[in-house]
Amino acid sequence: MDHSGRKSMQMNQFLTKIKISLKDFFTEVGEILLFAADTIRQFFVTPFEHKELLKQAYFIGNKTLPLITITGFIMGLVLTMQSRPVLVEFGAQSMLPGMIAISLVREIGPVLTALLCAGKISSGIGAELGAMKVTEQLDAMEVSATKPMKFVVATRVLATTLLVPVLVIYADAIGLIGTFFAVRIYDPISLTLFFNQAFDSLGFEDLIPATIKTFFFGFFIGLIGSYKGYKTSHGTESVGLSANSAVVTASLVIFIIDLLAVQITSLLFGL
Amino acid sequence: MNRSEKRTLKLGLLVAVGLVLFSMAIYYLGSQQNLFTSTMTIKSYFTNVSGLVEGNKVRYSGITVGYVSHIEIIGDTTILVEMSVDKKMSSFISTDSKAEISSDGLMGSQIVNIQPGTADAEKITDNEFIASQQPLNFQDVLREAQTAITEGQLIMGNILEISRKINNGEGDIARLLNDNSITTKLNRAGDEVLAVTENTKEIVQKVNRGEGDLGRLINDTILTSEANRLIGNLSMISNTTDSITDELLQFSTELNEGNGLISRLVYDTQMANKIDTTLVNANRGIKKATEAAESVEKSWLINLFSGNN
Repeated sequence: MDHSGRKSMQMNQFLTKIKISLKDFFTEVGEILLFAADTIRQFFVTPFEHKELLKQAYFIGNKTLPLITITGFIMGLVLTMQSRPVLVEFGAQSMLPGMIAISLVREIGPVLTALLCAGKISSGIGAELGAMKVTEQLDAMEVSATKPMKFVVATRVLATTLLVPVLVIYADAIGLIGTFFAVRIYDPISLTLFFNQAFDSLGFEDLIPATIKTFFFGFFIGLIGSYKGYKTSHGTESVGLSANSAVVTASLVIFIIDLLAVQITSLLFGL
Repeated sequence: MNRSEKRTLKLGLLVAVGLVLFSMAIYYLGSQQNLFTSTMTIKSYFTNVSGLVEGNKVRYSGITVGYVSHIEIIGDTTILVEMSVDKKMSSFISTDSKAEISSDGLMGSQIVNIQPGTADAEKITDNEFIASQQPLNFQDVLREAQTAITEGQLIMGNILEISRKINNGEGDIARLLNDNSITTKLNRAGDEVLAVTENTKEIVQKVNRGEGDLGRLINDTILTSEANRLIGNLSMISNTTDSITDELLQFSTELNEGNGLISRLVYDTQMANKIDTTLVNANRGIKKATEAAESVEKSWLINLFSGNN
């Protein structure tokens, strides 16, 4: 085989690989959508598994709360210390609480918390469901007339959907406390003045769109973790892969949702 | 690939492409805010656009009405700016409106601000030009501020010189401020003015109370009635005088024209001659009588009987 023939074959192989990758990607998108539709359907099927929902909500909150507390505090502190020199240059350091509050509430709080949840919860759900799949517990459930989509998936997805917004608001509050400490390092500001300055800058147009998008973040964190776990192929190795894939995909989806949310907010609120 | 897998692939493809198109659509909507409104183009020439770029907002009296659709350099000092403006605004923007480039806030991007024209001017139509007003250049502002500061310094220097002179007692104002005797004199003058005022006040009070001649003159009504009576008497005297004058006039007429004794005495020369002759004769008679008397007196007979001898 001559050189040009080999090159053409390599090109064909490359194109085939791209074709397969694209096919796999679009197939996975379609499967996630079908999985999502099935999950949403389970939300409205009675009787709903309240106890399992509360249990999952407790686990999710309990697992992520210390992590979010520390991260949120550091986030506020570091953001303030990094932003301060720029504002000092304009003599506008009094605008620091308001500026950081807006940054935290509109963008950094929701996205960072969602990414942390993607790393902690989505991977956890992926690994848990993957292990259940590998050990055929999900099959056993189906045999024993317990729908795994209803009992395992719907409860976890609903729990993340409801818990992530709460965790985001908590992270915002902790972040503001971190900001207060950072501001106090340089200026002797009272807590009352700090919160007055911070909340004067905030409006419902900042809080409401940011909170709405966190519901979507939570839904997709739970959904992708569950999907990846549910679709785990046989073998213990696949469990790790599912957990890893869940984190990556959930993080990517979070950014895509954020990309759409910012423009929709801008169009609707003119901000 | 079975049928179910194919269906899933199609669904995934549809949603992924749909999502991409949706993203592009909302970002396009964001950049073209007047997409669903009918627009018209307004053009204007500038010599300097101060960093204006396509897509910057166009405002009419502070309200966003469109965006800058095209900027083109026509010549070395001429730049054409085309603005896409909501067609509904054509009823407000007139041909003598002016376009001005200004800044959106202290650190904001550049905007075109259309200032309203006069009410009776024609309304603008599509692709029509409006005049431009040169933007306020920050460098020019700084230059003017520098001039103002220099002039301010000169003024301050003059004020300093004036205050120095005042402190040193040069000039009238300085003397007024520094010389205490002037103040004393002014105080005295003030006291005197006060005293005069007090006196005046007292006089006015007396007048008000009706004390003295002036007070009575102003306050007493008897004087007015006396004066009235006096004027009445004067009027009566005047009337009497009038009647006397009439009578004198009548007498004089009678004297001039009548045939009475006095009139004849005055005007009749013949009678005058007669009287004259009579008087001469009388004189002559009296003279003769006097001579006769003297003769008698000297007569010895008379003297004998009278005992004078």
